[in-house]
Amino acid sequence: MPTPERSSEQKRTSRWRGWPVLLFIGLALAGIFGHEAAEILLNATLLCLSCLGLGR
Amino acid sequence: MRRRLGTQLISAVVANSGLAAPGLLPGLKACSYPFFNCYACPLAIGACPIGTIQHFAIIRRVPLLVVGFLGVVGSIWGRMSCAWLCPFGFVQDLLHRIPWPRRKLQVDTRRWSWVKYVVLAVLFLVIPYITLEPWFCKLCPAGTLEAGLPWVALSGTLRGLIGPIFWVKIAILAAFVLASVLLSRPFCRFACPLGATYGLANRWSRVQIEVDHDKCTSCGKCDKSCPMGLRPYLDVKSTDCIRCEECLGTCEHLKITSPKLPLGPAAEPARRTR
Repeated sequence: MPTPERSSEQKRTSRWRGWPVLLFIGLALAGIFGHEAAEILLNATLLCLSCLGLGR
Repeated sequence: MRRRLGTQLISAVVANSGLAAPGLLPGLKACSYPFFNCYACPLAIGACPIGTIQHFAIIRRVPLLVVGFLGVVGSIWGRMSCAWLCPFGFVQDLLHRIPWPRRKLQVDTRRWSWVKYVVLAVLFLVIPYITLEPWFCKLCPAGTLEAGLPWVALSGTLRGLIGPIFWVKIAILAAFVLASVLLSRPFCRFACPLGATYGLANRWSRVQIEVDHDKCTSCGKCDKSCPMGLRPYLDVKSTDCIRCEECLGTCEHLKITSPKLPLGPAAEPARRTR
């Protein structure tokens, strides 16, 4: 029995679509190696009074 | 709906469980939440991605770690975390369940969804970059609810520091609370910069909702169930779709698709949720 040919739609959906995930994993790794976690931690730990609408 | 409310409740409790794990608290705040939750909340255990990106805009650096993290989450799930994990979305969902004597509002989100991109660009990135002040945080209603009000209630010293901006924050929060009773998820529809960012990823995310257009009769049943005021059969990849799966329960011609692995070869029909 002959194998049915795959339609262009099927070919399109079966194309590998994981590249954005890999790209963003690369960005996150660059951030980790750039010591961004320390900056995030410092910013998140200090209480910003002006952000709370307190003070002048 | 109940399953989603349960997930949202668990997420809100875990995200704000600082008292349960005080020893872990300092280290965890180096990690960003995949959803909107103020890190100034007395019980917060993680960092708000919006506040963090804004801080990096002020110090003139590109937040690669947070952008990468949000990109990974968005590229796999799209805006799904808005529906299933976000504590402020949970609050809005609860508020919308309050009975209202008159008919609640139905607004076509697509007409006004550009507003959140203006908020994203102007209030969240450009103005903080120019003024070196986190203006989105200063006005954020989620921050007022989760951090401003609890801190003022807990500390007499902070209560004495209440300034005019605090009352502006309260007014914005009150407006969104009232709007949430009348209209489902107004903040997510028109103001959330994180939703706007994730929404862009809806186009290519691994988890997708699909319509069987051969069988769809455009009856509009799915419209009525959509908390974002969308027409799922017209555009299931809409940047406003939060992947809440409410529409799946109303029509058998809608289904959610996801790959077996985030980096797997193709999206294929995975499950039907009723």
